[in-house]
Amino acid sequence: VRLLAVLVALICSSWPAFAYDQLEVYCNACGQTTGQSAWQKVPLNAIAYDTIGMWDSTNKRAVPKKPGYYRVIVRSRYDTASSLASAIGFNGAQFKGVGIDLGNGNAIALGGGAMIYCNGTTDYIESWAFSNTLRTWTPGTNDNYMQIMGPF
Amino acid sequence: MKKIFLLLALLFFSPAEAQISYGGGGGGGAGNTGGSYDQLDVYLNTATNTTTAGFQKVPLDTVNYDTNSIWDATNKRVVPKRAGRYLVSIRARTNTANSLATFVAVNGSVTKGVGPDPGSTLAAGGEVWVQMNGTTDYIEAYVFTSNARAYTTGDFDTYMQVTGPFN
Repeated sequence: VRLLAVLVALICSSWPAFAYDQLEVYCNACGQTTGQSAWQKVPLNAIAYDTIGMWDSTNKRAVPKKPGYYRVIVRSRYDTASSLASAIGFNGAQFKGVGIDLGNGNAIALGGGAMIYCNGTTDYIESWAFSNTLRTWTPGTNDNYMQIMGPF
Repeated sequence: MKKIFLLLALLFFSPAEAQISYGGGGGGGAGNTGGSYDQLDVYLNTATNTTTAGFQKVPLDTVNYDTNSIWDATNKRVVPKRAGRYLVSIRARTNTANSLATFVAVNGSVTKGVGPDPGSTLAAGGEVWVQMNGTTDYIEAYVFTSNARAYTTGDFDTYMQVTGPFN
């Protein structure tokens, strides 16, 4: 009976509080875009929640710790309207475009979601945006963010 | 002895292994990975204009489906009954192009911009994860418009969908 009690205690202590890993990071004074007419990583720099410690703050990327498909939602917003496209980055390059791409220089914000497979060890996810001019990312959880939930 | 083995078998059945895709069904377990998900789709059916410029709630008024009665028709809001994170998708469309952006409001405050803010557009929309306490928290669809103009109605154009909780 004692052995069983120890076994149950061990299992219960390792029971996951969240079955799905969940992350939200956002811009808190991210500064300006870095170049003109180029894809660039959104320098997300503040954590709203991270249930399993998947956010790599040094490299500003999410490194999921379990293999599987993750629902990733990104949004980018600037202080002035101009050409803008939004994408999910995977292992260092833009991987899935999300949302609309007007191409007419009028967008101030864009966003969308996609399912991304990660191997749970080395694969990583970033928020990317295309901007054709120097401008400032607007701060706060409302405007510039990336959310991840999974694996499904 | 059989009861002990049954208990051990249940404990070793990890909920992480019971994960399924959106839509629910299946075995249940901690974290609501395999249990049923509450699902709602509401849309605008009554001809309505936006108010003057500014943030405003979309007066969604017709339920397409609501599997756990989380829609409050009086206040035109979603009140989830189980704690956890919900995937919220909204879209709004108007009959003339002008400034339009969509937002999710939690407990009456605009908390997340979703999708595009393209300057001049007929429609905008997107999705976002939102945490709910399962008792008093509520979700609403909001837009920001630059002028008064008519929404286009029907479940194709102006709607909100909520699925969860995912824990």
